Amino acid sequence: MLTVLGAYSWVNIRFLLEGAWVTILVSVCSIVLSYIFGVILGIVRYVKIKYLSAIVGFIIDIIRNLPLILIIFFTYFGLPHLGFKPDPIWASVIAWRSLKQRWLLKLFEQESRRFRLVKWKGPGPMA
Amino acid sequence: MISIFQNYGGELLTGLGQTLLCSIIALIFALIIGSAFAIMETMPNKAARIIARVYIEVFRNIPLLVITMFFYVVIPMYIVKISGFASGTIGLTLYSSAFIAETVRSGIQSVDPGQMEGARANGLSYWQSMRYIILPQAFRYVIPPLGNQFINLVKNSSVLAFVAGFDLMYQANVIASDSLKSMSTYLCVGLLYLVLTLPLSYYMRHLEKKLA
Repeated sequence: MLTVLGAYSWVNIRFLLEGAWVTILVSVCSIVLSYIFGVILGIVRYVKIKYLSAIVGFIIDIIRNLPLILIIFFTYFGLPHLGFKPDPIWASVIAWRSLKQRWLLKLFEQESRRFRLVKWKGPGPMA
Repeated sequence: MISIFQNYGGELLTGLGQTLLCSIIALIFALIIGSAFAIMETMPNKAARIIARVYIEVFRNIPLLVITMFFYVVIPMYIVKISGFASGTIGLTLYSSAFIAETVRSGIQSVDPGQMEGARANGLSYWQSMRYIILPQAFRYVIPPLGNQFINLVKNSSVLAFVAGFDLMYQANVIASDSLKSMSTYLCVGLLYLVLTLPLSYYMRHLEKKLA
């Protein structure tokens, strides 16, 4: 038990707090960006533009089925080969964003489908 | 990309096998543990409900990496020596079991309470009505969300890379640092992950449409 308490010495606490700050920063950035991009892509998929929607849907399926760590490693180690070098935090934000937006998108899709159902089927029994 | 498959085929195949093995073991145990806690959470007994609630909330809200690291670093130091693969699988099992418990619980609760009352009125005991009346219906409801949990589990198995579990992601890091072609290596490994998860994903969508 003493070792556990020892872990909370001032020096360690400072490191932990710094880590917590990065966690919060990454989370907030990712949530905001993923929400924006997720809604945009969700609308694109929902309105069924002829080829674009199918392509977007395909890309979404691909990214949704890849592990997050792979996407992060890809953005951090893979993308520099294409001449684009993000620092670690931004790499994870980009990766998180692209992953998260799929989930939001799914959610949005379901919601909009439900909305459509409610809108069109709702008046029937009520009228 | 082709050269990666040619030069490191053996490593990739081992990784694929380890990922698959870990996923299947974790899947079976997570399903058992998760269902047990889901039943506990819907029991009339208050103590059982609290225990299940605490278990689920703890493992649902701690990152998977932290759980796995705990089993990789702390447990071998104080209790018993376990390999990276074992610790990764244990961590994955506990983490997924919390999510599966939540999913199954929602299924049990979506079964009409009249079913339970009817079963009890017909003379079945609590456990009998759970076993023969409630659970079969509950599991039918939760097949699509459970499928999503399984896909997540396969994806989450990439956490084994951090504890030397020799899974696909671990091999990817090894190959990337060996061949210095990180771009094509990660693309290759991504392709192999898609081989595992994409059919499952499409099958679940099909099932969802059929059941809905």
